[in-house]
Amino acid sequence: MVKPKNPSLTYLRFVNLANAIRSLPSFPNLDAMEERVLNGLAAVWATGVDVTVLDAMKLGPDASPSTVHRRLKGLQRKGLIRLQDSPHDSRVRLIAPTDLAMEYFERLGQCLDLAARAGAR
Amino acid sequence: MNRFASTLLQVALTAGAWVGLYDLNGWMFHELEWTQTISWIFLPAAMRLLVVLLWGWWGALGLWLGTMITNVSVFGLLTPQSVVVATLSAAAPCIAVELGRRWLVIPVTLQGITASQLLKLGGMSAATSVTLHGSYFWLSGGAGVVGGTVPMFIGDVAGTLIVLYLARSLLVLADRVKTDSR
Repeated sequence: MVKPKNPSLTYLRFVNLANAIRSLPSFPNLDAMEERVLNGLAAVWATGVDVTVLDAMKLGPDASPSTVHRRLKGLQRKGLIRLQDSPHDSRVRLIAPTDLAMEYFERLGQCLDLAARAGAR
Repeated sequence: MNRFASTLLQVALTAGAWVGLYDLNGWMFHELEWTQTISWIFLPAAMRLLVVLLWGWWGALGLWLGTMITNVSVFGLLTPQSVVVATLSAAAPCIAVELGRRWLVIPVTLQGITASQLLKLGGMSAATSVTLHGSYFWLSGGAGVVGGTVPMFIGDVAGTLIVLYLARSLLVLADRVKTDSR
């Protein structure tokens, strides 16, 4: 039987270090309610429907509109959502995801994929 | 290339990278210098941590050589002070990594090292560097040692974070390019 050659220690260290660097925290911390609001918004965005601030305030059935509104402010401060005027009615404010939010969802998806693959083994 | 030659090349590259990053730091953050050797942002601090994690004592030798070169304008060529400071600069991350690996139970291969552990090692490297340099300069009657401790620590931590996050951005970009090209 051919004895497998061990990869160099430096290469192993580099790979492990690179993985650690990749997983450096890059997203702002979200509290549980902010996460729920963001996930609720994501579900609506995925259908291609515009979300107004008023609509978003109704997303949390067990949270008061003012609580949700506060969380929307938090998400905006953390750079995950942006508010823009509706093209049809300038009095209406629409909530749109930022690039950071899209990266956040992508990373979550990758983590879920990894977890699913690990579970399948 | 035989092992000796590749080690020699690695030491030389480490020394060269140290000198390059040291000069870049001086150019970019000139306004943030506390003294000629202390800055509120010190990018080379990240190199101390990373080369020792990757190459151990050989990385430290490269750091020592690089620091001897950058010390010339401050302490002179091959002066006792220059040698001591270079030795402390190289030894600090070695001590921090050795203690940190034992405390955080990180294997020599760095298998399973987490981002949190990496950040802790960065903090320990900064703290060790400040302690060793500060102690030496205090014992040798250096002026302004205590005052320089805080900017030196902050400079090392800030520099390490900047470089690590820059490396993260590059790795994420490389991953994205690799994924998109499939």
